[in-house]
Amino acid sequence: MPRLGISLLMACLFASLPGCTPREPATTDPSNESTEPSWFEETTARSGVQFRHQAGLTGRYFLPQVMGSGVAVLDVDNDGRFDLLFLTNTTQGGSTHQLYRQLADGTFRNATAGSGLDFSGYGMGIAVGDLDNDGWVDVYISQYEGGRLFRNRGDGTFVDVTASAGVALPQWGTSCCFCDYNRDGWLDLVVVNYVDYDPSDTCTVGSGRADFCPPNHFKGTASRLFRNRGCGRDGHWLGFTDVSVESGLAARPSNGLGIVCADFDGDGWPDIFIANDARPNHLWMNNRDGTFREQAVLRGVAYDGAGHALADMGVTLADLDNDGRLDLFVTHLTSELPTLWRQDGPGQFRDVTTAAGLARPRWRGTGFGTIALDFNHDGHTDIAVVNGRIARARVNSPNIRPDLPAFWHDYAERNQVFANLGGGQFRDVSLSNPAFCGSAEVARGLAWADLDNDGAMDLITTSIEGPARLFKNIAPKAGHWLIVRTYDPVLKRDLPGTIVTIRHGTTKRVALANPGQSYCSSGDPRAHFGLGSIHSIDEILVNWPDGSRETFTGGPVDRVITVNKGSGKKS
Amino acid sequence: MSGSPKFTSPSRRLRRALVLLALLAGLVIGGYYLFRPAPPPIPEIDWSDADPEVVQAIIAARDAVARAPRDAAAWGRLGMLLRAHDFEMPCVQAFQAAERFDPTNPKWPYLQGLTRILFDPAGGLACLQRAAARAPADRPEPHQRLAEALLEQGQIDAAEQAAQVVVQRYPRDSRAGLILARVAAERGDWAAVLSRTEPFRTDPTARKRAALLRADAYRRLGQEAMANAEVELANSIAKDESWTDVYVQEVLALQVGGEVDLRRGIALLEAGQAAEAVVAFELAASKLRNPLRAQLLQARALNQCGNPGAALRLLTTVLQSEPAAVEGWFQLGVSQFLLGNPRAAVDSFEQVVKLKPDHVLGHTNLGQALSKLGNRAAAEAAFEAALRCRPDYEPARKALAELRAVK
Repeated sequence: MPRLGISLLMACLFASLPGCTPREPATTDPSNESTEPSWFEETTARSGVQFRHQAGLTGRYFLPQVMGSGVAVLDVDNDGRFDLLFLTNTTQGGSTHQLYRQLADGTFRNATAGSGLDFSGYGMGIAVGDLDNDGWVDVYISQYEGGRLFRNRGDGTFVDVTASAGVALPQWGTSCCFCDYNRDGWLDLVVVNYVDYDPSDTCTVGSGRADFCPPNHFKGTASRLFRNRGCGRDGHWLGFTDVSVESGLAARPSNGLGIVCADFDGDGWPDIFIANDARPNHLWMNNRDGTFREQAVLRGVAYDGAGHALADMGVTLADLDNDGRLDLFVTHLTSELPTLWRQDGPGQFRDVTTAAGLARPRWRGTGFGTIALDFNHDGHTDIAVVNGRIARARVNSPNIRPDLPAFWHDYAERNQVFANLGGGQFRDVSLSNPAFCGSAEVARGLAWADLDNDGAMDLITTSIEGPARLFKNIAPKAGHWLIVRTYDPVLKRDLPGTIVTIRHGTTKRVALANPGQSYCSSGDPRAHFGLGSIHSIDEILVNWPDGSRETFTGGPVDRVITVNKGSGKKS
Repeated sequence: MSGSPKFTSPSRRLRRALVLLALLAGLVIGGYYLFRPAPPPIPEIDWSDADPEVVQAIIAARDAVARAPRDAAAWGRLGMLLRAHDFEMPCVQAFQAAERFDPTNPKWPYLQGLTRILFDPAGGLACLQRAAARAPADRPEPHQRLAEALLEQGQIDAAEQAAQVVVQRYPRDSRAGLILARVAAERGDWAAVLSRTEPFRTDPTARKRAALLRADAYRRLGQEAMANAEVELANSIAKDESWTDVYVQEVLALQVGGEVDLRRGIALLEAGQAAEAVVAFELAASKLRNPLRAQLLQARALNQCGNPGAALRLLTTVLQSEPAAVEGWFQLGVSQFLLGNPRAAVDSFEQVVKLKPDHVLGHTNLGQALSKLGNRAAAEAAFEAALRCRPDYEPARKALAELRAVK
């Protein structure tokens, strides 16, 4: 008995040895866990792209510094090859926005000098579209201290028409896109504005240490809608009219960051979704008379499922569960989760983030650029996200890029890739994608395009004070693919916002042709399909952004096809 | 005597046993002190840029831990002070130590969990689970937060169980009630969503979120009119009030430094108590390493409480060292205008819009000051500039219309 008593005494006394205390879980970063093949290979070094983003002097906690900048894919010279436009984010040090033209061998040449885009600025977002229907893509660049509009001269160089086109804005613009909201055949311009920032205002955390201000420290600003006036009788392009007040958009100032324009409710009219940072999102439904009504709450996309207004940033719209409806994915802060809103009725959405398996990622991040595409052609749309914090990290991310200046280490995070397993169920495959997700940086822009014409969508990223990076899609393909260009030969341009449906027997797949997604970026304007085992298609149904519908004959897959508006069968 | 057997008397045996026991106890106690694990090291804190008052408070708490390195209360206080001032990583270490020396108290794993879940969801969840297991009947917070975390991580059944623990004790608990409603929504049980949110339709801590859930439920049940009514209700409520959390309140009560005074001043200013706000901002400015924001707010409060002269004096000094302070020039313009010097106000507002070309109020006030000076053309241009920045800005639109009407 005494022995037992002593044993118990000893056991109690030593109960506080490390082995008896509550164990802390191991880090959730089992770096050697995955043996799955990677989906991406970085090709920056051999691509010829040498753009390095600059954000100016640090230490002032100048908010625009931590919010930019984007990247765009565009064919500036109509040679059939995608070129790249990168934005810088400073007016110091001689850094300018940079244009790279793709050469016949797939490499890129710096074509900035003399392009008309060779200027410095606090670059944020890029919208790409042919605003004067002359067959050449034009460019709008949103910036802190005002955006600028450039018309393509018709030779791949640009002229600044900001003032004459009536789009001079002193406000801080972020994401932007072209969209024909009134269906008159002329692309209108939507510029998302962020906050009413005062650069002399400063913010500190509880200890008194300085950091970038949170968005709600400032008042929000209204997004702006510019109606394209088209051409006059003499064929001269007339520019834009600011219709922000008349359309209703000016009535709801907020902290806008992301945008996607598309027909959300299937009525044939383009609607506008704006992701707001730390405030409820806006979904502007088209009233078909030049005005909009804001219905984000009614349609379930203002808040997450818990009723919280999260820090909404990047946006992508795609059919993620193959039910024929476009779903909405929006990126958020590290302490939050991204939100997947499933469209489960025409224009009705529901937060299914948890049910979709997106609530337990390998690691968390403050997501900016994002895009939903079927990277491995298994017939299910996957998601890529680029990350980087906007406030100092509690714990610095592992594998910070060695060339990232020390100031930005606290803000660096790793990117993420989520594989769609089918039925809208996702699995985090970031670990098996070390090229895209392995190193931490302060990433912002994400664009997508089939740069090498192999049918698989490649990715281009930008990061603060980091190099632009190109990623070739090398995912082992689980099936076939199809890329559909939606073109209007009369307007001589692509038609952003077109919804393409392909049919094979009773199986249908839907994709959106829309370059204006992600964050401050512009991507491939064509609709991309991963088809899995579908080896041919019976027909292609096209919902044009002007509300008309046409059916085109199908045929073999694994090719790029162009559907010309007006040449299909009216349906 | 020599042949007699050796007997030990019972009392001697007892004495020997006691001595042996004492030796053994001494050995055990000695062994414990010899081999017991060392207390954890006091966490390293990077307080470069931190307010002196914050540093002072944390140093005092660290010293208390150094004096009693196995005292859970000392570790806990250090952790709470660190958390109160956003030193999140070191606070987690302090809470771990507090839990080690006070393993039955739910407060330490709870506070650790609240912080940790922000960057380590799995680790934070484990902390919350320990806290919930130890929480007394009158403390629902660990169960509530655990249920929320479980739901966020997709563990719906476990979330429901954790929320039920609260609801069984407090049937009207809105936080747990909303979790149960969300669990029902996850399962597509829309009738249950309606019944579970019904008690919270007028609860100021839950009515907006309840309305959002109810709108979704009504829509899915095909009752559009009811859904629209709930949407209207949700839109009419700015935000639900915060839930009470005694543990968090204890942490917040430990906040010191200029930031606390700054926040108090802002609250006073928003409540229309400008004179009281002036005192708070002055105090904040005296404590903060960078007093600019507090000084500018003080100037605004001085203008609001009818003392533009004091605001002008303060701003004249501030702007000498901070000539790019937009708000400084703006408040200076206001002071000058209020003191009957529109000419000087024009200069100040021009400085505002030069530094920040999209300053709507700067353009508008510039227009007003120019109007006062009779410079209508320039005033018109200023109002137009305000409307370019914000096309629906009614004061500028009205002033412009009046100006044009007079013309």
